[in-house]
Order: sequence, then structure tokens, then C-alpha cells
Amino acid sequence: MRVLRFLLRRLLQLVPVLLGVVVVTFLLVRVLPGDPIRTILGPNATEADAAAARARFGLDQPLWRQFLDYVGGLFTGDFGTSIQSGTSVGAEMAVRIGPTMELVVIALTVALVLAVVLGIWSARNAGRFGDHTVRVAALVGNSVPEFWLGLVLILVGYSVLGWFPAPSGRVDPGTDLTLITGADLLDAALTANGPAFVSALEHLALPVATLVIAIVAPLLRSVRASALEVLASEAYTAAAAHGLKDRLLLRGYLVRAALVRLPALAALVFGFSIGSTVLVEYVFSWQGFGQWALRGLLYRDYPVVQASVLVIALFYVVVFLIADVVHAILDPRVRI
Amino acid sequence: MPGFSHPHGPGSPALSRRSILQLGGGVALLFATGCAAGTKAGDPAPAASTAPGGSDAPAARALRIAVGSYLSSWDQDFVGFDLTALMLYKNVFPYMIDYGVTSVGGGQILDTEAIAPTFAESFEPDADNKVWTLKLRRGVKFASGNEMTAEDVKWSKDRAFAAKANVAGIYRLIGLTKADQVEVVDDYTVRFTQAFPSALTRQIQAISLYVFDSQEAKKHITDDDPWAKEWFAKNPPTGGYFNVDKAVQGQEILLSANTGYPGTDGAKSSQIRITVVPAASNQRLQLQNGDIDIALGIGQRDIKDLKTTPGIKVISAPSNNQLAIQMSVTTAPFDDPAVRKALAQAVPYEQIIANVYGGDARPTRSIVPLDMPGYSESGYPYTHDVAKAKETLAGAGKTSITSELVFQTDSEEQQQIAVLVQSEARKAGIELKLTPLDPATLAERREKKNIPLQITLGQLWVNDVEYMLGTSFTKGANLNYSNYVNDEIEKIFEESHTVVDEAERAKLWLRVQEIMAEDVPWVVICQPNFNLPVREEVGGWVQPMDGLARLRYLSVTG
Amino acid sequence: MKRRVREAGGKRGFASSLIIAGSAILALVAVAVVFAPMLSAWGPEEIDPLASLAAPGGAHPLGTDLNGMDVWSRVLHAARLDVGIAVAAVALAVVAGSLVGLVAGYRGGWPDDVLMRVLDVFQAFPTFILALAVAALLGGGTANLIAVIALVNAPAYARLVRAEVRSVRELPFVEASRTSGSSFWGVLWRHVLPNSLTPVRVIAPLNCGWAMLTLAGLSFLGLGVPVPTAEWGAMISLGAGDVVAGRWWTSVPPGLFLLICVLGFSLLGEGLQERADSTRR
Repeated sequence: MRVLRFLLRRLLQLVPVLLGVVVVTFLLVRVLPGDPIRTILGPNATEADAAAARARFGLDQPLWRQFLDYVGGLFTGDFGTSIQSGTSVGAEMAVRIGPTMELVVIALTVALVLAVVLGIWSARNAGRFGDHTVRVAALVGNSVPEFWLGLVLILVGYSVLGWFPAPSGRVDPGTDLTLITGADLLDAALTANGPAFVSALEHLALPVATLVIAIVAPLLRSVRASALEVLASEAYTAAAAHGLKDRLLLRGYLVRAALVRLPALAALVFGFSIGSTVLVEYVFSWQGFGQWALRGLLYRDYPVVQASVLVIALFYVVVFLIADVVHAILDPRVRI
Repeated sequence: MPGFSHPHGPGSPALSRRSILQLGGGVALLFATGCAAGTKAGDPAPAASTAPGGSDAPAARALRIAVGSYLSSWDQDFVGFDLTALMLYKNVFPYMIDYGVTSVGGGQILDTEAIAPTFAESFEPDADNKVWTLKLRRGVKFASGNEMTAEDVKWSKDRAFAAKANVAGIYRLIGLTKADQVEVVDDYTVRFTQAFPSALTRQIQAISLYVFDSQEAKKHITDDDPWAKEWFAKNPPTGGYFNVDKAVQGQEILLSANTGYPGTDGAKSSQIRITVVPAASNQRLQLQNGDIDIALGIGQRDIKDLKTTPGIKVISAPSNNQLAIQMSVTTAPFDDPAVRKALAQAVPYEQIIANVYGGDARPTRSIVPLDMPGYSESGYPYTHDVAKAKETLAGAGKTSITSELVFQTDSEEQQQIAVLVQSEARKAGIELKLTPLDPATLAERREKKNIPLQITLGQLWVNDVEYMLGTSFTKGANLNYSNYVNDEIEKIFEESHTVVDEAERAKLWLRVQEIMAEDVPWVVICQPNFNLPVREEVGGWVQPMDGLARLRYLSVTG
Repeated sequence: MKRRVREAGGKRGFASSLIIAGSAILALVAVAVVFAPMLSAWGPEEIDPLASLAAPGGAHPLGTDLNGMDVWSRVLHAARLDVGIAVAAVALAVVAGSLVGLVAGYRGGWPDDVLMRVLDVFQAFPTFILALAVAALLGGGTANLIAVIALVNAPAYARLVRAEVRSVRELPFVEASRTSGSSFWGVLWRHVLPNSLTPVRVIAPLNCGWAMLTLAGLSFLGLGVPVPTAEWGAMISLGAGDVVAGRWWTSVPPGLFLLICVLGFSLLGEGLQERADSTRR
């Protein structure tokens, strides 16, 4: 119950922020130079054609009217119509979100697992060579430009070694995968399509590796710091002195403590990885959300840009919220 | 006497110069056959003369084509600048007439001199060349089951005139401006009465005589939308050489041969699968791996490599695709012809042909394309000579000028060219800032007409200088990005509407080129050849002079 | 007990090695920045008309790119641009952010609330996306890029300084100096600022590294420096199409240099943070 009230309170705080995001995006995208209507008309279009097209997308209305229409639409889940394709933005987005989520969630999970394992190991071997190596390696990973890393992995993994498939598409077209959510791995599992599942995994390998290498460092640092704290604490020293088995020490003390600070950091990293995803998707031609949003920006497709920014911001704040809640649950010191 | 209105202002001559825009990274390419073994257009169709696709080797599997982007709309009347869409339309809309095929230099091309009826039975003029009669075949059906009749033709063209479709603009050139000039004579006959006879009729009608299923359309008409624009934008047409079996927005389109095609030269492949692969390098990879058979959208950089890749052949042919820098004659400093000449002398033509196209481009000596009737070598007397450029500039009273060179942001080819031009122009005292523009900003600036220099790459749909003038060099012409107006050119253009004799026209064109050589509104760089990389098993390519592949000639063995 | 001492000493030792390593790398980068023209035979935008996509060797130690420009020269000259823009942007972010944070923290009340809400909205956007949008708005160009990256990084510093100011302003000695007649700004300058700058000093190097990655990312997507300026991200973008053909020299060297440069900043920053942590214990 208390958790629910906490949640509600935080959600309410979200509203003004999101409203701010909506307003800023709405204005920003209309201030950008470039006319989206001109890109869909032929070269022999008359002013009348342009006016008609503008009317079709509601762009002939005064600004405040457009804004109200837009916000009103949002309440019913209508994100508007894409100027470029003429189809519902919501529908387009639905197809694109799956692949991106697939990438980000898998990468974040792998990174988290790696961070916890390596972080705790590093803390237990603090000050020694292994610890230093792990930390420096993580630092190097964090310094790598992810779009370049993707290219290098393609060069080595595909061009030179041939172990991984070409960076075109997310799954081998020959496997005839039917898309449900857009996340190919999930869809393959849902439709029990073995070859597609394997193919999706193969195609996921390199982009996920790229993202993981880029985001593991801060996660690792946090786990290590928390673990070090625990290792130095009196409770732990006492338990160790009493001869508790290693595994129990780990599970009982270290992991939970290490995980405590993780949600907030994971949220931060999640946000960071959304930006990275745009670049990684570009390199691997993932046809995900990032590429779609970028194309929308290039063509000044107002509804698309507004929708993508709103969704990103929404995700961002919701993830932070979830992180806060998880943190509150895990850490008994936090008052809800 | 010409009774039609002079194409002034907006809405004038139409969607003609289809600039080949690179949106995802590749030039939509024309291709001529590299002589695939076995399939020639002249092959007699065996046995069943009305059964398409079954001629030579029955396509065991679908032909797979990759394109750079999904089409923006299925409605040909109102589509924007979308080459993928236009190519698809040629194959899924029923066109009453189309170009024939002829062999040239070991390859096959579409023959602009031999335009023949395809879905129609005949299309003939009367003695004056003013009244053209279209006779339809009987029993030809759309996928809905409705028969293709004169009523469909009339409705389609009424739509064009009433709703000011793209086609209405082109029709103006042959004197068709009102819906009542198109009459239904009987169920299978339609009469087109032009305001004046024109040498361009067949070519223009080849582009424009496509037909909608009007009975189906009428089911989707609303008060707000009397021409079913909404429905047609989202739903593929039927009745063409191919039917659209499946269309997944943004991803793929499946075509199957239309077994109801009445003629003998139906589609050779029974199934074609078109997938959207925006990145050129990915198209290359898929081609190399054999995941696709044809890649429409591979850039120059990869074509060079693919020429020596096993399993792949690059179909190559000369084309009328013109690479040029259009100079805005109303924007300083290019409002001074001497400055324009100076730039024309500073551009490194040979370097561009060698570095950007690997030698696979033809140098040109006129603003009129090389293969257009009337081409004269005196039309563009400028060569790369930096010293002369400096001289010419000095002659105009300047030692250095600064300006802006605009090109498309996604085009690697244009970027390369821009860099080369900037580097050489600098040596002549012309400092150019390079500005890549995204499609929205480019369109906006083009409308505002404030682009001093822009790189354009494209070709004309109608192989005639009259068409070229009407689309690019007369007042208000849609593709006239250089804002060029010349009174004598306007007069010649008017005159050419009614001059039908070839020799007379040739004389007019000579004069045009003389004027252009002096005014030099464009820097004409070269004509890049068309290169299309395909798998070796693909055969039957016919080079389309309008850049829009006729998929019905294609087949794949094995 | 012994273990703890060893740890603390080891920590400082590790911190020192990190700082030394980072500084060494940055020193090398500085050499490249200063001596770029002398270390390369070609200009960064000089076209060798005969050699496009030439393999490393001969006249071009690292080969040429698509435009026929020398890769080695461009990689060196790009250091100037990347490091210059990144450092300038972070400097601007620190100054602007600190000012905002100072005002918000000291004033309190509704200016503070408003500023914090504004910062919230800013930080509701993932930073790269925000940078993308503003870069698209302002267009490319060095000054604009510095402004964009500064804008995106400033909020963090604002929050940092604000927190410091709030914690410090209640301290007795601050009250004391105010009652003894020092002005508001004098107090800020002498007391609040030095304390606030410690965390800033530690974060700034890491921030420089991140700023360089953002700049490269923007240029990679075509929203950064004007064509054909030598910049690591732009070079990688141009060379990306060569990777599938197996040509590594157009995209690997610029990325490598970028990585090393960012690593230098990261090592330095991590070392400083490690040292700050160990002294705090």
C-alpha cells in the first residue's frame, strides 16, 4: 500500500515534466528550418496542392489549436499521422519499438549480469592485479565510440572471421518469421520457429556486444563500490569471522547490497544507451526506433519527431521511477 | 494556332525531370542488359500465346530485388519525388501503351521511337495528328473482376484534370487541358482531341495513359474525397503486368505475374519479392551472399568492387542521366554570366569522371543530353582550365568570390563531387562553402529559390529538347532551379509545339544550344553510365530510358 | 587492520598510476594537436587526385579515403578540432552551469524552483537525443557545436554546484562572514566556490571525454562539422561504407585515436576520483 502511494506521488510529479517535454518538442520541431510538406509534393505541385496537404495534416491551423489537437489526441492514444508515409504514427512506432527494446533490454541484462559478477569479484580482489585489469578494461570500454566499435566488430566478426552474419537485417529472411511484437527473438520463441530463433541470436550478437562493452563500466563501478562497502562493514567481517560459507556470504550480503544502488544507475545507463542505440542501429541497419526517429527528424516529420521524443522521455522517467521503487524495496533504509 | 495556355507559373509542365535522388544511399539505376544468355525480347513465346511467364526457363523461384526505400504512396496521380514508387507503378498499373525493345550494342534498351500498345489494342492519330483514338482490348479485367473499359480511362483522366494530378501538367504540353477533350466513343474506344498536333504525343501518353479501376474506386468515394485519394494512396492498383500480393509498409512488397494480361509479352517471372534495404553497403552484402538478385541502390564506391566479384555481373550502359551544377542566375555572384563561365572553367571534369565514376561516365559537350536528337558538340565549350577561369573572373572585375554549393545530405556521390569541385574552384579564386541539405530543408530552399549552386543528377522522361525546355529552361518550369529565363528560348519553345518536321526541329535545337553556350546556366559535368549490379543468374534486362525498370522482362535461372 | 592499510595505500598507488597514464596519453595528444602540420606530409583537406581509397603505404602512411585525402594527416588534424571543441564546450558548461547553480542554490525560493523544473525537463531527454535536436536546429559549425555540447552538459554542473551551495550556505562561518559585513558575492567567491569546485574538478575530465564522443557521434550522423573538415566522427562516417569491402584504414585509425584520447581523459578522471575517494576515507 505504501509503495502504491509512493508510486502515485512520484507519478504526479512526472506530469509537469512530461508536459514540459511535450511543449518543448512541439515548439522546437516547428522552429527547425525545413518544410515537411514540400518533401511529399511533386515538383509540379501548386500552392493549392501545398495548402491542401497542409490542411490534411492540420498544419494550417493556428499554433495553439494544433497543440491542443495534438495533446487531445495523446489522451486517446493517437499520436497523429506521419507526413511522410501517411500512416498512423502509433502503428509505425509499434513496429519499430520491438527491435529496439529487444536490443536494449538484452544488452542491459547482459551488462548487469557482467557488472554484478565482475564487480563483486573485483571487490573481493580489491587492490590486486585482477581488480585493476577489470577496472581499466571497463574504462576502455566506456571510452570507445560505440558506432566505431560496431564497425570494428563487423570488420573482425564478419569480414575477417566470418563467424557472424552480415549486418543487414535482424533475421535471415529464409526462416519466414512472422512478426508479432517486432522483437525477433521473442517472436521466434512465441511462434516456436527454431531456425529463426537461432538466426535472430546470431544477428543480435554483434550489436548487443557493442552496447554491452559501451555501458558496462559505470555499472561495474557502482557494484564494486557497494560491494567494497559491504566487505568493509562490521556485519560482513563478523559473518566471515564466524566462518560462514563463501556462497552464503555472497548471496546473503554482497549481492543484495551490490544491487541496492544498481536500479538508479541502471536507469541512468538505460537512458544513455537509448542515445547509443540510435548510433548502433544505424551501423547495423537494425530498422529500429532510433533510425525511424532520426529519419523523422531529417524530414521534419513533426508527428514522428514529437512521438519519438515523447516516448523516449516517457520511458526515461518511467524507468527512473521503477528504479526508485526497486531501490526502495531493496534498501530497508529508504523510507517510502 | 496554339490554343493552349503558355505554361506559366506554378502547375506548369510536370513531373518530367525525374532527378534521381538518393535517399538511402544509392542512385536508382538504369541498366541495359549485359546479354544474359538465352533471354532476348525477340524470343518467340512458346505454345500458349496468352500465358505469360512461361516462356523460357520457368522461374523456379521468386526474383528478389532490394530497393532503398519504401514507396510513399500508391497513388500515381499525386505522388511526390519517389523513384521507387514510380518504378513500381510502371509494373503494377495497366499502361495502355509503352516503349518497344530494341537491341543496341549488344544490349537491349527501350525504344523511344517504337511506342506500341500493350494493354490497349491500338492508339492511332487521325490525319492531322490532333485527334488520337485509343482502342481497348476486350475482356481485360482488373483483379476485382471488373472489366477494363473506356469508362475507366475517362474516369482516370477526369480525375487527373479535376484534381490537378501530376499528369495534368504533362498533358498541357500536348494540348490537353480539359476533361471534355477526352471522350468516350463506345465501351472500348476513347478519343483524345488535342488543341494542336504535337510531336510529343506518343511519348507523353506512354507516361500518362495509366488506368484506375473506376468501378472499385467509386465504392470509396466520399463527399470530402470525390476522387478516392485516401483509398488509392494506401491501396495498390491492379490490372498491370504484376499484381501486388502483399505489401508490408516499410519492409517488402510481393508481386505476382498477372495471368490476365492480354498480350503475348507478359511477365517472365511469376513472382517478384521487393525488400527495403536502406543502407547501400547492406544491399551489397546481400547481393554478394545471394540473398537478393538485384540491388537497386548501390553507390559508386561499391560498384567498382562488385565488377570483379564472382557471381555478380554489373550491367552497364550509357544513359542520358545528366550530372550538373545548376547556377541560380538571379543570385549574386552568379547573375553575372562571366562568373558562371569562370566556374565552368574551374570544374575538374576529368577528375570527377575518373575518381567518382571510375571512368564509367561520358564527357559531354552540350546542355542537351548526348543521346537526345539534336545534340550538338558546340553546346558547351568549357573545359577544365584553372588559368582561364582566373582570367575570366578577372574579366568580370573580380579576383575572388565566395558562395555556397548545395547537395543532398545522403548522397555520397554528390559529396565526393562537391569536395572535388570545391578544391579546384578554390584555385581559381572561387571559395565555395559546402552545404549538405536534408530533404525538407532542400525542398524549402528550392521553393524560396535562394540556392546559388546546387548539384543535380537526373534525366528526362521524354527524349526531346522541347520537353527539356518545358521542364527546365522556361519561365516557371518546375525543374528550373537556376531561375533561367531567356526571351528567345521562350519563343523557340512556343514555336516547337507546332513544328513536327524533324529537320526543322533540329534547326531550332541548334539555336537553343548556341544560346545556352553563351548563357551557361548550368555547369554540365558528365553523363554517368548506368550500372546495375545483379547476380549472374539474372537475365532479360532492358534498359529503360526513363530510369524505371520494366520488371516484366526479367527472369532468374537456378 | 593491515589489509586496510594496504588497501588504502594501494588505492592511492592505483590512483596515481591512473593519473599518470591518463596524463601521458593527453600529453601525446597535445603533441599531435600542436605539431600536426609538421608530422604529416599532406594537408588535411588536400586531395591526391590519383589516389582514392589507396591502401596504406608509399606516399600515404595510412592510405587515403574516398575523397583522396590522406588519412594520417586528417587523423592528426582532427585532434585539434575534437579536443578543442570538447574542452571549450566543457569549460563553457562548467562556467554557465556553475553560475546557474550558484544563483539557484543561494537565492532559493521560486527562482530556484523554476530553474530546477527547467533542468528537469532538460534532463528528461537522453543527452544524445537532446544534442541531436539542438544540433539540427542550429546547424553545424564549430561555435554551434560548442554551444550544443555545453548546453547538454551544463545541467549536471548546475545541480552539483547548487547542492554544494545549499550545504555550505547554512554553515556558521558563512553566516559569520556575512554578519561581519562581506557581500553576497564576496562570500560566494571566497567560501562557496572553492568547496564546490572539488567535485567539478573531478568530473570535468571525464566530461571532456564524453563531450568528444558526443561530437563524434553527431558528426557521424552528419549533424556536426561541415564537410569535408577533418574530424574523427566524420571520418568514421565516410569510412563506414568501406568496412564491408574489408578496407579498414578509412575508419579504424580515426576511431582508434578517438578511443585513445577519450581514454586519456577517462583515466585521468578516474584517477582523480579514486584519489578523492581515498583521501576522504
